[in-house]
Amino acid sequence: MTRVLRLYRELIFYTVVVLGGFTALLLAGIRLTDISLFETYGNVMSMFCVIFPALMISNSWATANLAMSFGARRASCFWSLEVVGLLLVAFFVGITVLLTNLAASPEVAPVRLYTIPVLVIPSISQVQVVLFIMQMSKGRLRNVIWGVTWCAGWFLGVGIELVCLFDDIPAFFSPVALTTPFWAIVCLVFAVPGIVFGVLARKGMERAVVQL
Amino acid sequence: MMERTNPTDGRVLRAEGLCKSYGKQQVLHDLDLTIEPGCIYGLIGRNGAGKTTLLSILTGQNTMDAGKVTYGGEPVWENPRALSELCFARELNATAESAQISVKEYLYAGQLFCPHWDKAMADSLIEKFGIDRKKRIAKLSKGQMSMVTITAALASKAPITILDEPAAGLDVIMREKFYRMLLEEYAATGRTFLVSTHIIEEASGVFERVIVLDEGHIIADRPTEELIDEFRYVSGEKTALDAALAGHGVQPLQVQELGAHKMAAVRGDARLFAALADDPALTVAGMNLQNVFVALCGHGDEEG
Repeated sequence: MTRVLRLYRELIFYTVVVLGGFTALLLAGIRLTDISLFETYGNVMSMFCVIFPALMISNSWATANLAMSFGARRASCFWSLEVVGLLLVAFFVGITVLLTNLAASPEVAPVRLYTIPVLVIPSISQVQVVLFIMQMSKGRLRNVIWGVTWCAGWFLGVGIELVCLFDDIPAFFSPVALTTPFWAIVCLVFAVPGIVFGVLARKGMERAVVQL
Repeated sequence: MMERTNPTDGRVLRAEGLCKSYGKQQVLHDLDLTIEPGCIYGLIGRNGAGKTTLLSILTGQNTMDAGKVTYGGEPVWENPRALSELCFARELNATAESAQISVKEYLYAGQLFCPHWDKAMADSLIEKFGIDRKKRIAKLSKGQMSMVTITAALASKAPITILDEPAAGLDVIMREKFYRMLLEEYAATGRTFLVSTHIIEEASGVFERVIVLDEGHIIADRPTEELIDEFRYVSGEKTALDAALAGHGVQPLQVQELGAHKMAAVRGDARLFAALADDPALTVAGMNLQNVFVALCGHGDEEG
């Protein structure tokens, strides 16, 4: 597993550095200048942080195939993807917390402890869904599941927006806006598909045909 | 060079009773195969014969419906010891997701996972082929992709190295160069190579042993010279040829007719060929590996 993780480090390192650098730039801009553009980008960035881990994991599937084509075990590749997924979620939630709390914008409520599950659980679940989809052979079923997942994601986003509107919460189309403990409990629901798709992804990877 | 070894040898790759289907289409039928150390094997078969499926199952990169694959007596599937001794260098595909990585990253992956990897050799080959390491695989020409695959296969130094259509994208000069490199590496290390190819005649001089796969069945697994020696073209006037073949109880594998003249591909032994050659109305000529392959797998498609 160490060797697979080393391969991921090699391939993901630059993306993470660039996004980390961009975050530092936004933070500096928000704290040190009066330019509202930085704040706008900071809010947008925190919104995207929830979907970035899943997007990056979808690109990492090719890396798993590469590793397996050179003799890496399927189990090693799967657990490495899980570790990378968790590290990416931690990284991007960290960015969200930094941008939301340190930016200290009056428009956005700071991230509290019970906001963390709202950020973490859907992110991890998305990673599992993407892992499940990516290990499927390219084909109609995969495209259908991929499409349904994206549509569900958009409906969820719109739902959050509506909740924020009706609750009079200043929303940026972001789960960061959901700052009450109630939403932390609601987000536990996302853990169920996360576990189910995680198990399915593990089983699917056992049968996957390595393709380069 | 090759010595047939005891099958219990630690470096024997063996498939027993392999079956594989894709949906309703059965690709491999109860297939047995033994790859022994210290030999260059050629795997030949028509498109869709199941070559890539077989190779990917042998290296644990595809599942099987029935049967088992072992290396040194241990199952290959998810076995780190076995997997580290096998290298499957497959054709790269410009449209694949993995083609977005650079040549350098591809070779780095090889270095990470192949315990016998020879970095100096990989660097020297990439230099020799004139490939830009920073270039994405998707941006390489088909020939350059083949060169990268060949580099990974040779530099892996894996005791059993499997190449799937390594020469497909190469021009004739590069193909010659590749076969020379393969032979040099084989002479220096005695590694086992299993090479699948469509370009049969050029490669026949390299293969010590040839495996012919036809519609999911292995129909020949013999030393190349022995296999070629079992076949002859017999030609002559149609009636004379038919009478001679019937007289010897021989069923021709492949027949070509031109007017009253007829030529048949025949499988037999030295005694049969000597008897046919004694007939003044007939001409008996040798075949090359490509002719043998057509005779075995043509199923009448080649009749002219």
